[in-house]
Amino acid sequence: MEQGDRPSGLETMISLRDLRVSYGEREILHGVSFDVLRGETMVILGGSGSGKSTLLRTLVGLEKPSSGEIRLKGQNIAAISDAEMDEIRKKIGMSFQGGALFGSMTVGENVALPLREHTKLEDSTIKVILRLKLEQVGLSGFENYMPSQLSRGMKKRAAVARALAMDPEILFFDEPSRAWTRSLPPASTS
Amino acid sequence: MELATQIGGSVTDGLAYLGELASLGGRAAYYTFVAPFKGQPLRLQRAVSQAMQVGVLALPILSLISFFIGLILALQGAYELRRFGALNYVAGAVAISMTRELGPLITAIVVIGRSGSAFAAEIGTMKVTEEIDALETMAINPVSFLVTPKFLAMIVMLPCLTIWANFMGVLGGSVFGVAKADFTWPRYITASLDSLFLRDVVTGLIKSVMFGITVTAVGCHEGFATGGGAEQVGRSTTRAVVISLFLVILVDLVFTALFYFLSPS
Repeated sequence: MEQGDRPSGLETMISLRDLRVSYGEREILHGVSFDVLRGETMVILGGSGSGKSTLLRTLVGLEKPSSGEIRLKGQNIAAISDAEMDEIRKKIGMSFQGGALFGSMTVGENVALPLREHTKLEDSTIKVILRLKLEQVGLSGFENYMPSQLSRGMKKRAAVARALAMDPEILFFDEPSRAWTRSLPPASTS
Repeated sequence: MELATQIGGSVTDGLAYLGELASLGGRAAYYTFVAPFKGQPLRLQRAVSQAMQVGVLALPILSLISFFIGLILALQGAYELRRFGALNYVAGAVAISMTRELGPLITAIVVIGRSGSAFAAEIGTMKVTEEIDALETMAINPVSFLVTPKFLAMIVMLPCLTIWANFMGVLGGSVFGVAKADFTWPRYITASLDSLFLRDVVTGLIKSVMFGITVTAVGCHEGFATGGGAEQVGRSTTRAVVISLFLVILVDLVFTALFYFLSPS
């Protein structure tokens, strides 16, 4: 993987060294190495079955690597306990391919969930943050809608709002543009 | 030789499965009884919602089934008792059968069909749609969030439902008792209560709690073990019901034997 000239002195947020992931006998990732600095956006493009989702799942700790090193903010996540991994996860946000909103909760309850679980914020404060996050993704006024009442694009935007709820330091998106761009006016996609 | 290998493999797989269930049940018990004292949430609101689904909404069907079972017991018991001129023992026979065995068992079977399958379907669907993964990436333990409320609801509601099922069974038996065995309603109820010892009721309630734990563990385990696709959710739901039925009977056998050998002679 090639990386062009980059400013020095910035914190390395993600660092991979010779990462290999296998499912049984089949190796999916063959020694991936790259760094992502603070403030950078990295886009991973690849054909179907090339390992994009596997890489993403490994980065957030949902898959275990066969070998290699993954560092998030300097911590090797392949060698830490579940409790330590949970502390790192509170600082990252992830938006899944299909949104993965919880169908039994409203959009507002979905977005507020990380705040209710991990903070001691007052309910009124959580409601303010919730409205701000929904406004960011263009879903103001949809707090009381159920996920089943939303289009695919709207579900993805709600999922992004949920990923942003804790103001994460690292954001991961799995297939962020699929179904989302179709819900935007043509001028926006260009 | 191949048959012996297959049997050995099945036994090993079965024991491994029981181990996984015990692990899931143990973690649910930890998040219910220990973790709240370490600052973790008990999720009471979700537990109450589950209790409504598991318990309150099961009352109509459970009432009908228990009533009919009580009536069937009375009829079948009377069939033999009348040969000895002992129809007056029908009340005691129904009461003891319901409280010790059939009340807890019928309740568990109804709950397996309604809730055990629902647990597997709910969690299985969440697995397929990556909602379980979403919980993990938000540092929310899926067992604490999904299983614990169900576990708490089951261990509270199963004994309550069992008491209700026992009552409905006695009521069903009383229909025969009053119609054909020369009882009055008050005499039938008195005869039922007089035939019961405290241990009859307590052993039945202990079994009901164990049944609740079994159904929760199996339903949730099958949900978490769901593979990809809607078809796999259906398979998990079916497996949850079948395995729960078998294990509830097995647990019933173990505890019935235990109470028998522990009871004073």
